Amino acid sequence: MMTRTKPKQSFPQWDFELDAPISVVAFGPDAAMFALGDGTIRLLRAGESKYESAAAHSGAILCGALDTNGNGILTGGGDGRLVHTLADGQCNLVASTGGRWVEHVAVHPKGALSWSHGRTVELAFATQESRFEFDLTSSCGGLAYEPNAERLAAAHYGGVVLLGLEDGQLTHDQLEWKGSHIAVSWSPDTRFLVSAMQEAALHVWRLSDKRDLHMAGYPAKPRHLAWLADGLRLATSGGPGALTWRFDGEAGPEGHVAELLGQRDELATAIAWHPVSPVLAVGFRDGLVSLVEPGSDRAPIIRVPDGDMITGLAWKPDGRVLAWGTEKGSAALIDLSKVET
Amino acid sequence: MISNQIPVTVLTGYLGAGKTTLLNRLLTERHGKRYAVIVNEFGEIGIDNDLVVDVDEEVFEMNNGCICCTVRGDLIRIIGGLMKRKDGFDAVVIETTGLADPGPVIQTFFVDDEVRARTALDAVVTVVDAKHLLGQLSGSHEAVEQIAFADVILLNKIDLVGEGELADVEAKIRAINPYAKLFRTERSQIAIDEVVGRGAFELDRILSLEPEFLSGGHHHHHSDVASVSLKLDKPLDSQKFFSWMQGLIEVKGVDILRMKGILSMKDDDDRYVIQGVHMLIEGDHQRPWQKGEQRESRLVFIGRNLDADLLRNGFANCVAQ
Repeated sequence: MMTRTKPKQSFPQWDFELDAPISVVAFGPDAAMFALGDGTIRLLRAGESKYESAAAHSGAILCGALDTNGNGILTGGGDGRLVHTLADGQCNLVASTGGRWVEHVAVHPKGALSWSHGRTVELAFATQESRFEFDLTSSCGGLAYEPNAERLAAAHYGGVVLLGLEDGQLTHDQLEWKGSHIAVSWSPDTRFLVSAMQEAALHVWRLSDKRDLHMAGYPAKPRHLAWLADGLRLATSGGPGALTWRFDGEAGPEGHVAELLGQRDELATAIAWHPVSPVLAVGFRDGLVSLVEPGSDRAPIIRVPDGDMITGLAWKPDGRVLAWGTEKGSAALIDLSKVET
Repeated sequence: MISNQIPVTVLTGYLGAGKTTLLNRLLTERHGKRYAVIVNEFGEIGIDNDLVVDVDEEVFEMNNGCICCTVRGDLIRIIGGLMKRKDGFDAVVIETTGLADPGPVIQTFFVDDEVRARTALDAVVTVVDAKHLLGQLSGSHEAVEQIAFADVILLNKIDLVGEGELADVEAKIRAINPYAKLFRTERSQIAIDEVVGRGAFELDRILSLEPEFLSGGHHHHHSDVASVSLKLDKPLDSQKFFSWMQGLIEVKGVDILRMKGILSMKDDDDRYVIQGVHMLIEGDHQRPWQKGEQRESRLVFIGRNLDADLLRNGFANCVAQ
């Protein structure tokens, strides 16, 4: 579908210099939201050069996730606050940890919310008035909700804990694997749980029998994990291009070789699947962004390298606009709706 | 030797030795620098500063086949988070708990690629209590390691002991680590630039100490930690050297606490610098040998049960034919 991409200049693009490292890029139906190292959230829209800036935090923003309806963003910061910022720039304090960094946040589409500071995971369920707290055996490395239930996976040193609710009580189920787990993600069909590891590897649990699958040999930590809309393919950063794994068989990626897309002599640092098509945006440490597709070796470049690392990529939910952000604070929206099919 | 790496100082020492006093001075004195300070006992620093981060030390074993490879998982996270800040800082200072083995902190700066890309270990500074050090050394493995790993030692609270006792304490420190720069201090009074941002300068100073001066005299002390200093004036065969080094750390890595060297390789106009901790070693071309500069290779080890003759012979076999 991207095989006859026109040159880059033919796509309308809006550039912004935001002047602070960009930690998180999230895209709602209304605005693209950039969470920054100066504590602000900038709300950018395609076609508009002016934008809103919300002073959400007083220190660097460390994590963020789109809210339930996608019209706002929940962010955690070095100021120990969890803040909900709406697309109009209004900020609401959700929780405060007394100064401990809020390093991870996860939102469930049905309203559950969780965040972590150090070893502590705090959970708010949509159906429960009270909040719950759970202390992991070591600091939390990542949070992710099971797609259709309110079960939360919390990664840490030594494995992943699954936290759920039963008769109003918090339950926990430990999945163990030696080493430090720094990100976690569920397969959309919930058959598999995948974690990224400090040791530059991917670990997979098949949840039906807790069978372990381990994919080592990454040159860097595969920190970013993203599932194609059909749920049968996982893409990761941390390789010389995006590495994609097939999850369509009983044993997931076992027996399959990863497909390397957009191969370059540089590390992929951010990835984002198109919401509908099997097209993946890949961002690199040197600032290049390209569009790749499984089964194809084409990789049209939509951002040329300038040495500024891509830290976030996000598509507008309708798939027409792509947003990227860099470590030095350069942001852009690019309208790819006119790509020929 | 990339210049945009932020220097990191590791501050170790027993509880009560004077680390907090030094940290407070770092944060309050007018030195025109901004320091990010990572502490483990928040309450001890009575300063409200958003660049002070409180952590729980988390020592992780790296599941990478390297038996003694432990790192500080909390530091990897915190340094990643600090790098997201808009307002930069000039240096990072990491305070360890009194009973900490400095190994995992130092190894973190060798092992994690993201940490290495942004920061460089500058110096390990150990504060010791002149009055209590001797007791601590005989009773604690960690007290010995804190001295063995040090680049700079503050022999603090000298006002509480007499000159004779001070000389005794210094001799004990030197038996373990003859290379560290040693300052006698009261209430941790020292010029900040002696502690932070020392840079590669340190390596030259250490290696310029005469091996003859360093060896001898420390065979019969209570600790099994000692040092070996080696020197060769003929150029080395780099292949031979690296294969010797590889074999050495496989066998002795657990016992080698620190290793540093400046090497002159055959057919190479650059000084090659190398440093290591346990089984981890990194080396790089530093700069061209200057005109008139003595092209020689120097290597120092601090560790447990080091066999000086074996090391000397192994090193001598690396000379290029």
